[in-house]
Amino acid sequence: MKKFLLLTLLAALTACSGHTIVVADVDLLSLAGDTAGLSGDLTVPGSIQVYVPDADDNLTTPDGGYLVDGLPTLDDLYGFGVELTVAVENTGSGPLTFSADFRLASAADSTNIYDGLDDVSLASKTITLDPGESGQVELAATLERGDANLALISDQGFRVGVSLAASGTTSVHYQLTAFRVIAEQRPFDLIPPP
Amino acid sequence: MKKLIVAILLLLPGLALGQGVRSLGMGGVTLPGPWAATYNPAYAAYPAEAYGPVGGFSLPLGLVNLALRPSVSPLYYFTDFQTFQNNFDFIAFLDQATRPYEFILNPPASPSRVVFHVSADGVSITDGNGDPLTLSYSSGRSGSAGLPLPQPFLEIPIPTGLDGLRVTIGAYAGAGGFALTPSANLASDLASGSLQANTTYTITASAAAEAGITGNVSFATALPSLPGFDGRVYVGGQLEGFYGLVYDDTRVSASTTTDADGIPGPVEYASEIFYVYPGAGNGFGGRVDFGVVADYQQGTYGLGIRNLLGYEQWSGTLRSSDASGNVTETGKTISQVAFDPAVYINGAYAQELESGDIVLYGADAAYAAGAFSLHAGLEYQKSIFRLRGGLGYEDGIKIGLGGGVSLPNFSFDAAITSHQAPFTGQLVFGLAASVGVYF
Repeated sequence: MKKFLLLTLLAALTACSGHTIVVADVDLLSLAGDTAGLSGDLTVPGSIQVYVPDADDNLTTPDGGYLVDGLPTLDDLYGFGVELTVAVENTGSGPLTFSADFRLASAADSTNIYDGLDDVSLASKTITLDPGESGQVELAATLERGDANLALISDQGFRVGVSLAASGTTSVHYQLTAFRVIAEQRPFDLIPPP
Repeated sequence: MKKLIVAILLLLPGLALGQGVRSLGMGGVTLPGPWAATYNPAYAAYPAEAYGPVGGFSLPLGLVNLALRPSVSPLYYFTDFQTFQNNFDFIAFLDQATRPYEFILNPPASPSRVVFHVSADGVSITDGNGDPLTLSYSSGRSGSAGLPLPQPFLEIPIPTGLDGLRVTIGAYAGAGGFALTPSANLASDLASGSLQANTTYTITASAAAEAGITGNVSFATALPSLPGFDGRVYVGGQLEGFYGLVYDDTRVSASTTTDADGIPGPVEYASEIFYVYPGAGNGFGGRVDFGVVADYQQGTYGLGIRNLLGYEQWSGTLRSSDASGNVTETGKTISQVAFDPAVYINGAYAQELESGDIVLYGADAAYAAGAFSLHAGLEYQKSIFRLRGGLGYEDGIKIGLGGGVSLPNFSFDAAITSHQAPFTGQLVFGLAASVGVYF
């Protein structure tokens, strides 16, 4: 993503008040593309873990996730949110335990956003499915102004990713059906005092 | 930031001219009388008492909001920064600043949310309700060359000793002409949902201001009775000259080109500023106005044409900067022979009821430089009391309701008026009042 300055200028001129919040609503599901491993089939002899969106052409190795940059709202954030949904189907003959863990990292954390260094887990959830059963994992998290984790987000952007872990004696089909992040900024927070 | 806010405050006096409270109560109608000579020079010879006083001194009630109301007043930036930061609304300020004689009862509010939707399909902008933002706005004169001058704010009559001949000198200042104009493709694509791929979009902001000295020579008189016409006709003409001291016409454009995915690229800026100030250029020109008024039975009907023919010339400096940041300054002279008439028609009709009460009907319409306005209203006169109502159109519907007291030496008028707010289109109500003392 590149610069949105023209649109920011428009918004600032037409909606310029102390109560106006400028929101960047980013649909990562469409932006990440088909090659990012947003859906797939996994065979689970024991356990397996994949990392999506895939940034290093290897689903099973941790990487830098997806870099979100150039948004008009990344300076001095008012709030941040994420919504992620994974549809899961147990396609094998044994029980399945499936979990998802959403990670937020700084833009500089380009090699591994899953190691706890310069990154953080914002939401995680685990479900169990019987053979042939379908379900979904819904993750949601919000950060409000003053939250220390907002420091990971700068005008250089931020990185996001989700690790999906499956365990059992079966196989599984997964598909991310929703993946959006929301960055909020109050432009008047940027006005310097006299 | 401080300089910006001070600059905005300095612009205030030039942003708007007061309008009679009686007129506001009638939906904006300008009744026949000498006060309408600005629009129709024949009214200079028309008796002022025919339709009563237009109103007394308009009280600048809007200054209360501009000084005290946190959503309107930029002064809090200096006195209480937190209050400013949490409450100030530029649209509310703009709306009140352009109407200093109205106390805006419900200042318009900017959208609480502006949402950029970013996806592989491109970018769209909506308010918090999912509706497209209104991105264009214009107010006042823009590119002022060739248009009628603003009404002088300081006008001194010079005795001529000749009946009907009026000579005045004065000063004028007009600021505003502010416009924010997205290119047609940007406006339509944002309204339809997303930006197109490989397309250049532009938005242009422009503003104009000028000030100088005026000199007017006008002649208006009532014609002798016309055979076969049971009424009275007044004619008038005016030569309006000016010497310009200050002129500024600024245009700044920003453009961006989207990539193959419809995502905007870097922004490029370009600007053109043509300016004149004392010691660095000047301007001069003149314009001819003409008007005719007819009294017939209980009605009065007028036609005025301003700027029937005009010439003006400004010599100043053109400062240009391109997308690469290269700045050039060159001397430039612009001149124009203008036939850009501003047409104004109005009429009023007084109906006396059996009770002795009077109902006064009024209407006017004007066209100037592509802008059209229309007003219609009435006033019910019972003894010393007045009740008024009317409708108008000026870039949007406006409503007027009012009333007053009219005594031989004193008058008080009040009106509630409405208009549509810039950008948001909200219906905004304002309260205006005036006091008149006559000797």
